[in-house]
Amino acid sequence: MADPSRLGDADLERALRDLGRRYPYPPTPNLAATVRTRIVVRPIAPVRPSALWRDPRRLALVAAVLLALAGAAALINPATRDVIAHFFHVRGVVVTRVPSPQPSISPNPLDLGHRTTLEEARSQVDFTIAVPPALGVPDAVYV
Amino acid sequence: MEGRPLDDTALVERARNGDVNAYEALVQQYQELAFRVAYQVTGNAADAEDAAQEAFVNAYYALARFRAGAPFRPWLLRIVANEARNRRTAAGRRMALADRAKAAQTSGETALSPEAAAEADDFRATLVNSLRRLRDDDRLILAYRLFFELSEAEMAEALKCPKGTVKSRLSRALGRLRAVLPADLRLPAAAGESNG
Repeated sequence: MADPSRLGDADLERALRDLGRRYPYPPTPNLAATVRTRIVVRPIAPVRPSALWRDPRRLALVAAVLLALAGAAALINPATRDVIAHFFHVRGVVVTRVPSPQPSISPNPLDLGHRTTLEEARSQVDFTIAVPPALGVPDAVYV
Repeated sequence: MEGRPLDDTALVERARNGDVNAYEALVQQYQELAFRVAYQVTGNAADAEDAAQEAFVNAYYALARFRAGAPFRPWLLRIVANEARNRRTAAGRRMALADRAKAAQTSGETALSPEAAAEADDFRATLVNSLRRLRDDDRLILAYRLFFELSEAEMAEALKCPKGTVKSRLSRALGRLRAVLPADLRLPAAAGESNG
C-alpha cells in the first residue's frame, strides 16, 4: 500500500521550486560598478556593420550569392557547360565546334553505267524498254 | 520620466558598439541571477562574486563573437558557470556544507506553528545538503529549471547541449537527487496540507 507521505516526483519538483524561492543566498554584491570600472579602462572596438565574418547568417547569404553567380558564369560559357553536363552524365545533343563546317551531301557521282542512246539500249537488253509518252524523249539513257 | 527601458537585444547591440552605459544596464539586470548561479556552483559568496564579476568582464570583451539577436541570458550564464567551475575550491565546498544546514533555517513561515516551521526548515536543509552532494552539472540543471525557471531552449543554450536532451538530462538529475535523499524523507506536514 502506498505511503501517502512518501515523496513523489511531482512533490519533489514542487519542493525544489519552493526551495528556490527561499534559498539562503548571500546578498548580491554590486557588480555593475566594479565591472564598469574594469571595462572603461580598456574600450572595445565598435563592431562595424561590415563585420561580415562575425555573423554566420550574413556570411552564409553572401556565400550562396557568390556560388549562384559562379554557377551562372560557368553555364554561360558553352565549353564549361558541356564539361559540367558531361560530368553529371546529362545526355543531350552534343555540339562539336570546328573551324569550317563540312558539306552535308557527298560529292561522289552516281554510278549509273554507260551513257548511250535509247535505240542502242533497246538492242542491248532482253526486255522491252518502255518510255511513257507523256514524258517525251528522255534526256539521257544509261545501261 | 525616462522612456521605456531598452530590451536585451538593443542593450547588447549598443554595448557591442562600445556603449559602456548599455553594458552596465545589462550587468544591473543580470547581476543577481549571475551571482546566484555562480553560488550554486562555488558554494561560497567570495568565489561566486569573483566568478560573476569575471564572467561579466569576459562577456563584454566577447560581445563581438555574440550572434546578433540571440538571447543574451543563457549565453551569459554559460560564461558564468564556466568561471564558477574554475573557482570552485575544496575549502569553498566545505564551508558551503557547514553554511547550508544553518542557512536553510530561514523559512519566515510565520503562519506555521513553531513545530511545523521547524519541520519545514529541516526538510529544506535536507534538500539543500542533498543538492550539494550532486555533481555541478546535475545541480546546475535542476537550479536552471526549478530555481531560475529557464525555458528548455535557454537551458540548452546555457548547457551547450541539444534542446531534445534537456528533458532527459533533467530527469536523470532528479533521479540522482532522489538517490542521495534520505530514504525516510517525508514531506513536512504543512507542505502536504498546503499542496494537497
